[in-house]
Amino acid sequence: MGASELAGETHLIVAYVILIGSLVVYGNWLRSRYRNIANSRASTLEARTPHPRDGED
Amino acid sequence: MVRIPARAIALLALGSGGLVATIFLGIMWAPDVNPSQWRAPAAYRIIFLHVPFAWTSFLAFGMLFWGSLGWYLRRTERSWRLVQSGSDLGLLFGIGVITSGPIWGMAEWGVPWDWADLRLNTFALLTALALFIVMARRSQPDHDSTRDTIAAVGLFGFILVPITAVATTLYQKRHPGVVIIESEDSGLDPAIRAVMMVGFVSITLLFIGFTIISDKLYSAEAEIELNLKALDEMDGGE
Repeated sequence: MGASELAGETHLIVAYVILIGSLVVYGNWLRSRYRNIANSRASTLEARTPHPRDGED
Repeated sequence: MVRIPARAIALLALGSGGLVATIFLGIMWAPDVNPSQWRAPAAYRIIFLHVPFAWTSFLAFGMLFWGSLGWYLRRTERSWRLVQSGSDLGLLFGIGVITSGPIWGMAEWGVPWDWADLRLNTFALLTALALFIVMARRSQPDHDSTRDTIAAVGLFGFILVPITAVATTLYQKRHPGVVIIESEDSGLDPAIRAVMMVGFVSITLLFIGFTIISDKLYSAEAEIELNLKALDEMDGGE
């Protein structure tokens, strides 16, 4: 493969990394929202349930 | 606990596999272009992801439009969730297109952007519109009036989609209409077209998987918001 055939190879790699990276970042953002929801559900449930020691004093 | 449907995970797995196959086929199987006619022959392979990203972004903008229309006509939470997921995904795929395109332009044209080209600029406007909607949703209080404003932007902004789609036919300045290499019929080599189709199917599968998950998450977040509001009201009433 000659030098002219390789022209633009760095651009190709950078573009692929950005495109695939953006999909990965979006997927991770969905995953972090999923975790937040799981935690929020737990904390909402906790807020609704009185602590066993509440009212001892 | 919010449940992510197994079919969404399966679609993401299939789409990811297809994406890997697209890259492999695009690099190993798709033919080289004539180095004497192209300034950066290797960079042309960017189209195997750039074009499917662009097509998929139109699906996302279509979803945004459909959601905006639904919000105006019926004011349902389901329509609003389409606006939410459509704008997120429109931004995701739009950014992919307006970054990979200029990277190819830099290699092939020597300049990343052409302010006189219709398609480049209408597509950039579409992505800016998705960015505006995402930012407005996150920065403004979630009232019906805010949703009305955002849906109006989504509705009228959609006019840019057909303009962008036919831009290279009506007014071709610099952006290629189709990728042209030596072939008798259409000008598009069948192997190149095949890899682009594999790319489009793969990214569409990812798009559908992401949409299902995003919809579930927005639905669960809205439910939590309602629960927290109810808790606040209970606390306030005690």
